[in-house]
Amino acid sequence: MFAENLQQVAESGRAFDTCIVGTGPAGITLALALAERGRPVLLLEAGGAHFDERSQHQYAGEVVGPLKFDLEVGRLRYFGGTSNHWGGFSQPLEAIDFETKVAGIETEWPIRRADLDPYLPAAESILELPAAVPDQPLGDSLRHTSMRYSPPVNFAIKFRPALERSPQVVVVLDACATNLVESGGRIVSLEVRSGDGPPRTVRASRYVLCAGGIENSRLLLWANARNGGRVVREPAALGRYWMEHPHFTLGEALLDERAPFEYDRWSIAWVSPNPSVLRERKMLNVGLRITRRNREASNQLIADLACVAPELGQWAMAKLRRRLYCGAMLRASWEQSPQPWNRVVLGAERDRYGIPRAELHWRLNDFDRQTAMKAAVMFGEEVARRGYGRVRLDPWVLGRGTFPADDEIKGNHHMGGTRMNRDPRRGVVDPDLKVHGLSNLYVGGSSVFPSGGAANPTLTIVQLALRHAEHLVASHATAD
Amino acid sequence: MRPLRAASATVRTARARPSDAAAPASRPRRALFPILAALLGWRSARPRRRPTFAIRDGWILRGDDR
Repeated sequence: MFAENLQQVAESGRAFDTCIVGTGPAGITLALALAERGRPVLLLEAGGAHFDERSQHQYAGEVVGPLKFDLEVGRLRYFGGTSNHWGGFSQPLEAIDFETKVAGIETEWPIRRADLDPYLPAAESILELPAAVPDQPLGDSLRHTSMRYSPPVNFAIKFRPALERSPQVVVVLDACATNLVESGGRIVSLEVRSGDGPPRTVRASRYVLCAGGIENSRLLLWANARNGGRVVREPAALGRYWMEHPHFTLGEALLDERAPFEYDRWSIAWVSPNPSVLRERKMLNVGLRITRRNREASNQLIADLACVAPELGQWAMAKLRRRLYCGAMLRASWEQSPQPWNRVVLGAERDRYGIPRAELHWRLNDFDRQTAMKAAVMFGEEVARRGYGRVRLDPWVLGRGTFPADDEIKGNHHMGGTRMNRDPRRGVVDPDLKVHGLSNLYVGGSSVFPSGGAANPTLTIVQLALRHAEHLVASHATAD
Repeated sequence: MRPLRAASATVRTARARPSDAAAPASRPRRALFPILAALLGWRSARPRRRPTFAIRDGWILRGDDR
């Protein structure tokens, strides 16, 4: 059923097996997977069926740090969540992404890639991904990779009919979770607001927060404050280890047209370091993106090259005239080191329901810069060694200057804040995504990622949701 | 100019500069020599050349780029 009135649901006293907060890829995947197994689900969406400025403004907040971005942009507060505008870029995390790559950098997950692999085919099917293409080696240190593109699947459009048909799912729009009520080590009810109406109470055996990479932390921080710290009893990691995938232009390249770079439908050639190289070079994962530039930009690049290597510049110009050379942008999206000081906290301003707005403390550090630099230098050396061309890096990449604030900066991949860890002092949820210390509160989505690899997160979010559904069904059977 | 550690020690440098064309694959005498040397246990008196790279004005250049 779809779009039942919150008041009716609250007053019906209907018992739900699971209440899911949020209708993005995590929430909808989980709801349908539970419904398929016969479990009654209450699925709450804070926004409406369509974009609404007033609703979206609930997401306003402040970024504290040198690189600013708007917290109202990059996520969407209506049915389908951020899937309403995602680009469809999909890659699974690699096996090494679940492990420690560099001593002292906490990238370790309490699960392994093998734990998510069984859910990969179903997740690929949900996202309608084409078949994977194996990586191709590029020298000893690098490889050509390929991005897989979802059409992209919009979860609101694709799954609304199934949710409407399902006798197990009740979807309520304009239902914003504003508090969790704890008693005796479990959540006993959820406080929900709709429009300007009074707070309502809904109940379920279990509650799963799938509200997004910032909102999950914000709601838990607020609920913890209102429940005297009994929701997240070891709050040391709550809101912390928040991550993005930094997105920056690292430099430019002159590339031989005959070099074996395959440009995909977005005119991007993808290159990454080999996993074995990451530990050796003490760096995290990186996706280099090579995109072609026009002839004018290529001319300028060759002129610049001629200033430092005149013979090489002349030779490159001759090749450009024969259309054998082309300029390219060297961009990268890479893994940010998870750090406790990057965190979501409750700000001074409040939203329409009196909940403190998110204040996001976020900055990149020199280790993050070095990760990008090492990958770019590897690429530049390999290109020069093989006679494919030459690469020029921007000064900040080489440590002269700071991250440019006028670049793309981030990929709208909000990860961490409620990270997964076996130790309650170092994580918020356990490997089953259950909040430590409570028997029936769970978190889904990328906020549980302990680290983000260099892969776009949606595919992993869907894999995790499918695994989560299986766990919830199994644990419910045990409880029965 | 800032020298960089080469990523690999097994890289051939092209003879003709500034040509970036890959060296011809078949040079029987040159290709046979290291195989014979390995089989017979000969050792070259000259240490193997490691490729060098340098960064000039942001450009990652080979040591022999002019």
